[in-house]
Parts: sequence; structure tokens; C-alpha cells
Amino acid sequence: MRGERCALRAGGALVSLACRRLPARIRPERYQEWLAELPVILRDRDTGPAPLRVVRMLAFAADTLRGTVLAADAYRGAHRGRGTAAKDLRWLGTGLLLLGGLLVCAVFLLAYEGCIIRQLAIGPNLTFSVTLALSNLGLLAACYISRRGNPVLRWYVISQIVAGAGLSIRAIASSSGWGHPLLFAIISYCGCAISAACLALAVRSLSRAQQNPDLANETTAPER
Amino acid sequence: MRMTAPLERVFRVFLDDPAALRYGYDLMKAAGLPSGTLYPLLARLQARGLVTSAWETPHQDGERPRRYYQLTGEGIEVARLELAQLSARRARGPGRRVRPAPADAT
Repeated sequence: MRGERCALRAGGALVSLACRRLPARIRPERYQEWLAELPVILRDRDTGPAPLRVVRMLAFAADTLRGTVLAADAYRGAHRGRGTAAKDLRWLGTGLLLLGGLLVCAVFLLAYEGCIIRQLAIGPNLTFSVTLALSNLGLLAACYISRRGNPVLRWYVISQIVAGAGLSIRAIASSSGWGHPLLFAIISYCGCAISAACLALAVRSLSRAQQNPDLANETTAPER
Repeated sequence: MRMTAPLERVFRVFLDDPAALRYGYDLMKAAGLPSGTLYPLLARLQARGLVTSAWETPHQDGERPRRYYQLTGEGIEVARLELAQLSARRARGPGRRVRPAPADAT
């Protein structure tokens, strides 16, 4: 059948994803078992024409994933006993608390970035800009001294420093009447553009760290 | 173990020929269950010792060996008993209803 290998590879990827959710001791045997069923489904002429068989095979693989997510207890051999409901409630509470914390952090970050953009639009406040640049400079120094900063944090702090520096230069120039206001406005816009680029690098570092957890623990400490 | 509609279907398929070796995909087709329902169910039955599984001998043509399932002696007894109790409950009248298995699986 044309494209059989490609379809099998896609099904295999889904099965592999499903097996990642299983306990390590049963993972290899389940992987072998489900992988062995894929070509059988694909060649089962009773089920209909080739495209339908491909769909059935992929549905089989996708449904194993659903099974491992929704019925993980079955594969662990665990049976729901007394106190399970209380445990579930505790986990639910912790999860909701964490979710709430994350939402608050996200809102705070959005408001913070919004504040910077507002300063850029209406003309910067000297105190805000200098505080922004200096506090982040302090944070960056702390990261390097403690050797604990990861690339995501470093790029984020650098982006804030650059934005703060651009705004500070513009604020100082406008308050003391130096040069042409347009020139310093352009400098502050450039600062914010570089800041945005640094933020993009922070996001990239975050996604790379998620793909490779080792990178998340990368510190500024030299290798010994 | 609580009797559910998928469990009833799986028991009926197994009891059609208790000596037969059943592969996962064959069970899926016969019971009309998706893989995400069937395999966790088989894992539970296996954990309780009602179902046993084994791998077929490796093929010469490089095909991967498949895993087959079979009811154990205890499994056959339990399945027959559970299905009999279910039939008796249905005969008594409306209660907690379990969706009947498809006609081809009976």
C-alpha cells in the first residue's frame, strides 16, 4: 500500500506518546504490543478501502493515548480505595491554587509590560525608567553572582534593562532640554525594539528548555 | 469488579470460545470497543487474575509478534457468574441498566 510506512510511522509516534504515560516497567511490552497491531489493522481488508484502514489505524493509536491518559490506574494495577476521594480533592485544591498563582503572575506581567509600553507612548517618567533599568541591572548582577540564573531569566532581565535604559535616556533628555526630542524618541523606540528581540530570545530559550529539561537547569557557573 | 457494558461485551466475546486465543484488535472488532477502553479493561482483568496473556512466537518474515489474551479458569467462572447475574437482574425488571452487547458479540 502506498504511504504505508508513513502511516505506520505516524501511528507509531502516537503509540510512543501513549506509552510515555505508562509506568516504566510495563512501557516496553505495551509499546511492542500496540506497535504490532498497527500493520495488522492497516492490512485488514475486511474493514474497507486503504484510506479507511489508515484512519482506523490512526484512530486505534490515538485511542490508546486516550486510554493511557484517562485510565492510567488500570495500567498501574492500582485500585481505588478509601481516602482516594480526599486525595483527589487535595490534588484538585493544589492544582487550582497553582493555576490561580500562575494567572496572577500573568496578569502582573501583562500590566508591567503594558506600563512600559504606556511610558513609551506618552513620554517616559524619569523615576519609573531609572528604577526599571537599575532594579533589573541589580537582578542581572545577582544572577551572575549567585550563578543561578537560567537563560530565560537572563534574557528577560536584559530586555527590561534595555527598555529601561532607552526610556531613561529619553526622560533625562526631555527633562533637561537636550537635543531634539525626536532623536531621543527614536532612541527609546530602538531600545524597546531591542528589548522585544531579547524577550523573543527568552521565549525561545523557554521552549528549548521545555524540549530539553537539562537546559532549564543550566546555570552561569563554569563547568568544573 | 463492577459490571459495565464494555466488560459485559468482553466477557461475552471471551465466552464464545473460552479456549480461543484473542488478540487485542480481534477483541476490539468482536466487542465493538475502542482501544482506549479495551486495553485498560484487559489490564484490570489481568491484574485480578481473570485474564492471562502471552506473546506469539516471532514470525520469520520480520513481523512483530502479537500479544494474545485468554480467560483463566477463574476468569471463565467469574464471567459466567457475572453474566448470569446480569441476566437475572434484567429478567427481574428495571433497575440499574447496562447497555446490552451488540447482537454479533452474543
